Amino acid sequence: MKIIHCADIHLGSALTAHFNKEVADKRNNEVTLTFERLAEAARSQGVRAVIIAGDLFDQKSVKKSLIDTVLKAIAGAPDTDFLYLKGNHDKDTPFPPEDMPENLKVFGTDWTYFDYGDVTIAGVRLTKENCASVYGTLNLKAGRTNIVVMHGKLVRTSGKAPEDAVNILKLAGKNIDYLALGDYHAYQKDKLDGRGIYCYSGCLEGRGFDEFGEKGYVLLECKRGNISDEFVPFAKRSVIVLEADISGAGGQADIEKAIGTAVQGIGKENLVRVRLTGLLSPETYKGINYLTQKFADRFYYFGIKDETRVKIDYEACKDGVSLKSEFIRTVLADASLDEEQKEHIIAMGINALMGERYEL
Amino acid sequence: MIIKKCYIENFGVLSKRAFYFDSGLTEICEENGMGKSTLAVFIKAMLFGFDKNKRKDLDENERKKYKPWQKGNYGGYLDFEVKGKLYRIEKSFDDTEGDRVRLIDLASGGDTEDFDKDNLGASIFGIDEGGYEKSAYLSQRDPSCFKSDRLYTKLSDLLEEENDMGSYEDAMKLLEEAESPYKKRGGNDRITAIENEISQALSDLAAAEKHEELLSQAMPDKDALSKKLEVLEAEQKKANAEYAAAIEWEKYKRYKQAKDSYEAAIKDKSVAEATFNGKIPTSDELDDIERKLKVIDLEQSKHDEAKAELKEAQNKQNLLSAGETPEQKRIIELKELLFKEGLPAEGEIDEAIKAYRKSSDLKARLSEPLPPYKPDYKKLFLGSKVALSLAIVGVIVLIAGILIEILADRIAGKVVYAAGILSFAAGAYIVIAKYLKGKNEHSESHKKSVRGEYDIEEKKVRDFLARYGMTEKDPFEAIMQISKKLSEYVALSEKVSDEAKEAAEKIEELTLKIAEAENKIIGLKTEVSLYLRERGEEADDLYQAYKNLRDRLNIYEIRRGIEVAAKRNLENCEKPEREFEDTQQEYDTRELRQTLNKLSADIDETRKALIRLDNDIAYHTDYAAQKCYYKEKTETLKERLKKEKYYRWIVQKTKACLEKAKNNLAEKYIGEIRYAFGRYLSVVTGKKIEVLVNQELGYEIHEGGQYRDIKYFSRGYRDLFDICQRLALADALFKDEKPFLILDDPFKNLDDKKMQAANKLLAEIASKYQVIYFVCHTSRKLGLS
Repeated sequence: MKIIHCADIHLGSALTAHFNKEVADKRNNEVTLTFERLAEAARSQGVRAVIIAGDLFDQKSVKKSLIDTVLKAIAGAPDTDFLYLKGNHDKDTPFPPEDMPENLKVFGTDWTYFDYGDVTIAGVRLTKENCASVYGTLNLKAGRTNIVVMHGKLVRTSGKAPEDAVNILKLAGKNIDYLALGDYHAYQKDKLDGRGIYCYSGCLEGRGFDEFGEKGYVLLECKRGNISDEFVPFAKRSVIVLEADISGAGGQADIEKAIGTAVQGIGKENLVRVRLTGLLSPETYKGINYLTQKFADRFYYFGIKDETRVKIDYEACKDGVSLKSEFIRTVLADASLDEEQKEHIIAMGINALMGERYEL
Repeated sequence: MIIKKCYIENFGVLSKRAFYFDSGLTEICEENGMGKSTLAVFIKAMLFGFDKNKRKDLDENERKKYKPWQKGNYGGYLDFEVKGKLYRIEKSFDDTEGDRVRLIDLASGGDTEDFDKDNLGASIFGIDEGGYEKSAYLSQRDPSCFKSDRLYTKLSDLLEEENDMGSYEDAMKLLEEAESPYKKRGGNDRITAIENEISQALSDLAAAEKHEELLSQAMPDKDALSKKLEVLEAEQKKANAEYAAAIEWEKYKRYKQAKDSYEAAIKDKSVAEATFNGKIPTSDELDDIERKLKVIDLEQSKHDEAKAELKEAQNKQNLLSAGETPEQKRIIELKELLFKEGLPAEGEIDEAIKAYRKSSDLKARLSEPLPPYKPDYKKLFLGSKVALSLAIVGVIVLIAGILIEILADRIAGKVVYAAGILSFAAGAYIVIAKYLKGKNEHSESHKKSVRGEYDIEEKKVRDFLARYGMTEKDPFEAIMQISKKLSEYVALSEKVSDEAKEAAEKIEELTLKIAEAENKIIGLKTEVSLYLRERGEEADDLYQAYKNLRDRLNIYEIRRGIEVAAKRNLENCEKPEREFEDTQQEYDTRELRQTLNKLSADIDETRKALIRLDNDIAYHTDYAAQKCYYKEKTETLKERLKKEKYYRWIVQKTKACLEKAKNNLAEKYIGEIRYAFGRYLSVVTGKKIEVLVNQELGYEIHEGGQYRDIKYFSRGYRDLFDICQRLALADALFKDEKPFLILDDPFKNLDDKKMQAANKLLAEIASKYQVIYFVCHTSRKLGLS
């Protein structure tokens, strides 16, 4: 029997923290489309159940059209059950509606169990009221294949865990074969106890540059009392963050070359950010806007984050007879400025003396 | 740096010239045009190359200006010493192949990279060509040429490092431009704009939250409405059931009523049907009867009419038989008057008219001239054999006579000739006489003939008229009258005859007609009477009987129609599912209907309210869904505001630091310049001079108890002061590696006294600098080298 574990889809996100409105809207639609693809994949592969371990939606208020889309996708795979656990983002979202499809099931604030052959899938939504007692009321038979669904960050404590945290210490020894978790947006798994593992499936699509890496779902195969898991990359696009050390670069051309090397081999369909690092002479013109535009056509989305530091040759300017040297000395001597501020002022001043505009 | 040797391959007017320089003062005195300035430019070119401009003005394009006219390598080399090490810079200027430059370590003999060979001057002194020109190279141009420059500009020119293109002013301008978006007034600056955007985003966020709140309020309302709808629908269901029962009862009633009506209708119809003795008339049959009755009436009318006509015809016939008609009377009259002897035969009047006309013609011909006599000439000439023979003989003899006259004897010929003529003439006479005779006969016979005819015709006319007693009148008039009367007589006779015939025919016809009508009438009456009787109508008045039958049929038809309608009604009536007792109480369907309607309206209203609420919820949801967007937008804008403020602060701070650095620099160098300046002024004046130098390198000299502008002093003094200033500048700027100084006849304006001061000055500077002093007049030679 096949079961899919996914989480943190965050349908209806704004995404404008990382992208402009146009890109954000397109990306949002892609996230929704990926969910639809997931439903279709579940149908075509004969998946028995899809576990959505929380945060299906990004916020409480969701457009009706989006809800309709989700319901339609679920209804389109009538032989697959969609087991939905609300997370911290969508706990107040009015979903599912009363007339939900038959194959959509919801985990409540008490343990809710669903049996499929010799597999039991149990899930519970953590609240302030149940976060302490919930671990004591979980009841799983040892002879079955047991999957537990929860949403929250992991803690290990013998005391009381925060209401939105999953205390894996208290879940050990509960006959759990697979703890399907949501909340953390990157794929991660580890041992739970002697019997089972816990796993964050991560999100289906990276929504910003803080969600880079492969995204997808976990495919579980339950066969004759055994359960195997496999991460399946499923995102339409990858969010990729690369570093390019441009220390010593003479100018824009060198930086362009460094970026070119860094992005070599990256597919066109991806969202790429290049972090420029290293120490640069203040005279070095980076041309960030130009370079961003130059590489923009190569990828679905391209951005540059300038994290370089200004290299100041303190020795050279100590006795230098020039306005530049004098300027540098003046800035360095100003005790009211911190190091970063000094770097920025010096870089701006030097570039100005060179006739160049300096952007932070 | 010390220049040791200078070798010029080809440069301007100089070709294959070597110059050697002392470490202190090297004086070169040569006439004008010998190449002193050229040497100075060569040295500068070795250190800094040529300016890459392509100006056409030679004074601004030294590369072009100093290109050798003769063939050969355009360039040379310079041997120099820096920090105890000997070097050679070799340069060859070539527009086609490109300049060739080598920097050689003279100790090793190989190329060296101790300095930038392409920009040696800047590499060694840290100044570019411009700075060099303004400091170490005192040309013949006005030494105070840069007096108007600002100090920091000069300093930046002098102090620019390699590749540093900017200046303080340009840098400040750039920073001002960077700051300008933050300084716009009227709230148009970038910070205010972002703050306004944040305000708007917060406002939008508040609106989205408000919508979320309204959404929260709307949901319980929706639940309440949904519950209300449930209750109403339950009531409706109950009311529907009751109503259904009521309907069923109504249905039963209606069905029963229809059934009763149908049975009654059958009975009524049967009663009506019974009156027809089993023979139910049809409407068509009755129409036929009616038609027959009308025919009877018609035939009767015709019969009566015919009878009247018959009587009339018979009367006429009687009259005719008695000869009493007007026409007959007239006929008799005419007969008496004209036609006692009988009527003119057919064509007789025409004959009479013809005879009259002919006699008239003949009469006229009698008085007309005779027609011309036209004989039959053939008969005339050929009819008389004698005449013809004579004529022929006469012609023959004539001809013979002519021949004889000609051929034989004239007299004989003439005689014959004459005989011939006589014969012919005799023949001709006969013909003529015949002709004349004929003509007379023609005339006589013509007259006779005409007269004869006339008499005949005249007699005809007279005889005709006499028969009718019309001899006195004009014959033609009389004939006409007779004709007219005859026509009248004939016409009348014909008319009378026709009338008699007509009367007879008519009588026959009418008699037949009357008989036919009577037969027809009898037949139809019998038919109709039988029909009516069979169907129960016994009446003498057939028409009345028909009417009665028609009425009965109508009644029957009506009742049959009622039966059919009742049957249809019964068939259309829905058969009730069940029977009801007669004691069943009436349902108040009206009230039930009203209740149902009210429930329906309430349900409808509630559903509409739900739809409206759903719409509101959707509306609020759509707006509330924007909450995270506005929240993120607000955060992003706040971040941006922070960055923009930081950027503005950095720009302002950079400006402040740059200005401070500029002032520091100026202050630093002004002090040094002032000191050096004062020292050099003391050398040239022989006394201690206080000088005030401002940041623009303008200066005032303390003289006569106060600081005076340079313009107060003479030209000679001003030149000296400017040279001191530049030397002071060089002192201030070149601390590490002292440059050599090239003085290209800078003292040409000085008088003898000042020249002595210049000497002292040169001695002073020669102790610190390598000085290359060009002069073109011996009066300005120093004799110090």
